[in-house]
Amino acid sequence: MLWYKGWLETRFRVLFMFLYAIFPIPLITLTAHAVAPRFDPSLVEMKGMVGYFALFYSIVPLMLAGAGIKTQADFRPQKGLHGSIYFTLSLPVSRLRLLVTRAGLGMAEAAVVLTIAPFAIWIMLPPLRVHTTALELFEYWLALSVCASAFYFLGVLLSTFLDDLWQNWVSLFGIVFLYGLSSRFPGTPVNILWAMGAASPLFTHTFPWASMSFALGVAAILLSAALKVVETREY
Amino acid sequence: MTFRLNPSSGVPIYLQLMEQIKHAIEVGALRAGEQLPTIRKLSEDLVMNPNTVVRAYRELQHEGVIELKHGSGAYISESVAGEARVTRKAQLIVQSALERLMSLGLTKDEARRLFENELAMLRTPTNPVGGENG
Amino acid sequence: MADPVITTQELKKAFNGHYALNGLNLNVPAGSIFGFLGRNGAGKTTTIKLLMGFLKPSEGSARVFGLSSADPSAGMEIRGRVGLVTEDKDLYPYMTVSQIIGFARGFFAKWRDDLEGRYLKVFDLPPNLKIAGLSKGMRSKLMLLLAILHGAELLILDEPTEGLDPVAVEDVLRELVALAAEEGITVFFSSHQLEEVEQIADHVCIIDRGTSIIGGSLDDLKGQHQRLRIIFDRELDGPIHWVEGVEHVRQAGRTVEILASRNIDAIVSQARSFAPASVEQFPVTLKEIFLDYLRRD
Repeated sequence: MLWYKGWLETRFRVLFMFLYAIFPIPLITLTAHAVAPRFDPSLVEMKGMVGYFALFYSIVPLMLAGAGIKTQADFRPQKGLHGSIYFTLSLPVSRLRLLVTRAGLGMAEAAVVLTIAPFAIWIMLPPLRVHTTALELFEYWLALSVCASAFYFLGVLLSTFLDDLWQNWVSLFGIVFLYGLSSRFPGTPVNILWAMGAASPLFTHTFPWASMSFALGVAAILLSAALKVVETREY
Repeated sequence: MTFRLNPSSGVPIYLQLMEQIKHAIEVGALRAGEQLPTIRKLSEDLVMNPNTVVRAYRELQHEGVIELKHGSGAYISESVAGEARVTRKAQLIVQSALERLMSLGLTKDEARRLFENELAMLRTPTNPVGGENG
Repeated sequence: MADPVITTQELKKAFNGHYALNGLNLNVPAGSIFGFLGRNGAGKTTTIKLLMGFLKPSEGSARVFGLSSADPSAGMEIRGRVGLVTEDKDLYPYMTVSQIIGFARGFFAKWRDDLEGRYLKVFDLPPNLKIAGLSKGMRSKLMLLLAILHGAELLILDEPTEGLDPVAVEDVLRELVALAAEEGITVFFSSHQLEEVEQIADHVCIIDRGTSIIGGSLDDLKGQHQRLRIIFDRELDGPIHWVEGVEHVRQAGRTVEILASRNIDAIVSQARSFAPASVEQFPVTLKEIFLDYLRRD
């Protein structure tokens, strides 16, 4: 039943993120044709563009993150939402289970929405299609999702102590800050965004194992931090 | 038999219930051997605490007014019949006292206040509440 | 005699240095209907949050069913056996009445499906109405319904009749009394409606500024307290130093009103020793006890 509750709370968010993920496709394909009739980016240019897409798609998991304690709203303001946290906490269910269920749901939703990413890139960057098989698109999605989990669990941690509005803004600034930070370590596993862009399976034809492991490690740390907050916090 | 209780009157509810049951017996609404409602039923019907009903019934049993038969419920004692006679006697006493007070020129309100005051001052030998109440 | 269902020992809770609870000692007997009274901000909701484990004590302890409310695993067991109606009565606005019943059902082994229809009818709750569309009073009844249907042994209710019209209030009180009578459920409720508390509670506790001021069996409280009115036929020289048992004195002109909690005989004797015009005794209501003990003159 917690999955059902989580779904009711997040379904509009998921829809919104789908639209967000899709909207660059017409935008870019139409402007690309208008700006440069012969849209033929070089490999370097494409790597750069995919890097920016990585930044763009990293927002998706952040926006879908939740910790399952407070009741989340869709975008309409709802009277009587805030106090329902006490009803949730009064149920005979551990805070761990509340957190894991909601976090798991959100991650699954993010992974589903992120399937748009390889699809979008395939449409927006025709020259890439020559080198890329369907398997590699799948690999790209997998690498993207695993790396994005680091951002996702950052969102989960933020949701344990920020309300929805603050959580969204801090997440947005957080992404930009992290992008800047990780650009200082090019070529290392720490640069997860790089692993989602230029070093992704689209170009290397292999998984960025180091970055993926690093991302999972970061995700695990953030998850346990979120759990600690949720278990010790007073409401 | 219906009872009307006033939770905010200041008189403990169980005492009110006891009084009303005794009054019902005195006027003949309840007869010797008749069964009283179960604790559950009475508390639900009157929307009052079941423990309060329990206390009233227990006190009445202690005073010999009712009998609690294990398993079947509460019944008015057989011995109650004799008390109706005492009540009739008491009624006559009060009637004659009132006639005399009226002939002294007291109003009904003055008489009532007099009675209430004297009752409050009275030290009752059997005090159901216990403690140091006067 | 069964163990008390709720006990607190010198329970204290501080927020930023301010003590919302400052040494509360509570004792709620099993099967009782317990009225928890106090002014706004006295600490009632804080106490309830501590009992439910939403807050941890700063000092002292709180136990429900003999289990420590601050311990996480004990907390799970407590929450499985307690039904809560919160202060704000907030539930999930996007769910309907039926949906939240279905949602809650999944968490409890002994859900009372057989009672669902009855309580939906008694509490007049339309199953397909979204919770966002319910008034506060209806949400209160819905929370109570959820608590009853999951077979709670203890109901902790924060102002359960708030927002209800008199007929609905009587319906709720009747159901609470029926649950106590038939299932032996303990009801612990806070309320500002003293008449309602007087009607169904057998025990009360009045708290103020984080501690309990007075409490115990309601019948005993009302039986032991007396109001005395002493009228003199002359002005008095000065205030009288009363013997023990006098809780409050109000002197206006030639009339002295006393609220006494015990030792009535001695007080009456003392009053008579001043040769008054009259000494009258009155029983005391819960409201009078509440106001006299809590008014800060």
